[in-house]
Amino acid sequence: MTTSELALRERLLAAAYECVARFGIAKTTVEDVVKESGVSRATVYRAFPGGKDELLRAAVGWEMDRFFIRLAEAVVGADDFAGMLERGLLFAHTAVHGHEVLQTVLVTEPEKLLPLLTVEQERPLHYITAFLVPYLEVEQQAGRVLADLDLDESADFLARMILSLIGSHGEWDMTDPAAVRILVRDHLLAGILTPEALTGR
Amino acid sequence: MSSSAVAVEERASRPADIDARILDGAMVCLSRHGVVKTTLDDIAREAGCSRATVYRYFPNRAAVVEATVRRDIDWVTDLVTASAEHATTLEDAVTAMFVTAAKAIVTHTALQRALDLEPEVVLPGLSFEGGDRMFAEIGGRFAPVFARFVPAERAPRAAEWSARVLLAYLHPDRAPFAMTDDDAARALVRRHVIPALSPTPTASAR
Repeated sequence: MTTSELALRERLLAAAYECVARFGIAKTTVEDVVKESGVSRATVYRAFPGGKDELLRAAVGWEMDRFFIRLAEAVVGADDFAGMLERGLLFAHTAVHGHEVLQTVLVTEPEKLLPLLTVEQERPLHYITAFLVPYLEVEQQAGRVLADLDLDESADFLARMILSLIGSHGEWDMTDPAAVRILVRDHLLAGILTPEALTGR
Repeated sequence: MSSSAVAVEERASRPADIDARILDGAMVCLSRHGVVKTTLDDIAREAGCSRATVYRYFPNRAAVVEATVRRDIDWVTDLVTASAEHATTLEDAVTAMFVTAAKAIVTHTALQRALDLEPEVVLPGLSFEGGDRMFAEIGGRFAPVFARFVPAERAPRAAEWSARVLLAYLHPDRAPFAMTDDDAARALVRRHVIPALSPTPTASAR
């Protein structure tokens, strides 16, 4: 894709997201996106031949990408690997619960939103896995991971669990740093880092 | 079957049998037509009874569907619990439960059909707040199995953690390996589940 094509795509997805925020998923039309973006109907269909369905699915994926970019930015500068995961989970929980559009649509149109989120969930799974592998390599070089650890497998495990915990915290109080510390160090990383690395000794 | 034959059969059955037959019929319908399209007539026909009989036991179609799902969840709970009955270690118990639960879920015609074709009906019960409720229920249901291996006060958390790991790997398109495979399940349990359920937590002990 050329730069101008990417810019057009970005403009249309931002417009589609804005329409969903205003009208909801069911009521948003391609016409609304045309008006919001100031791009012609023909151009919208050239970029998204599948029309409304394709546009909305891509808009959900676009906002999800933006969410995980914010998450990646939030964890920069943490003390260590465990500290990074703690910071990330605390941030993600607050961000999901404070995400007005997400929370509104989860109440008004869960049956429309959830299938889209589930279809698009594969991207953050790969994204988080790829993000974590270099950090695990650093931990391994420092002799802080358990013997016979498969780094890719462990990164994939962590990504799955992070997505699970962001979606449903279950019995974990994800607003309490002490609880998240137990979650990360005693559960998520219990089979990955050495006890010394986990206790910071 | 003629209507008089149905009447004779209905009289001959004890109420509990009719109740179970209605739920059996409903499950067949859910597997065949899905949740939205299954009608009370379909259920009555499949159960071999009249609409009036269905209404004697259930107030409406939604109640039949809900009772069918509840009974099924109870069955799977019993099946999974029983699979750990003879386990002597936590690793054996969790591995057996993973494989049994995974098989029950991936071969569940009605559930898989709904996940494929009617995700909007199923997903609200499995994600976000629905997921919180589901995890709380799983924690309660399987705590007794875990209490054989970990202190009772930690058993619900152990059950929830195990279920969370299993479910994170069950999506058929995304799973790196089949959790129905005993060796694959055991490797995952040994690496990521058992250490998390260990009796000497590192962070909390500090």
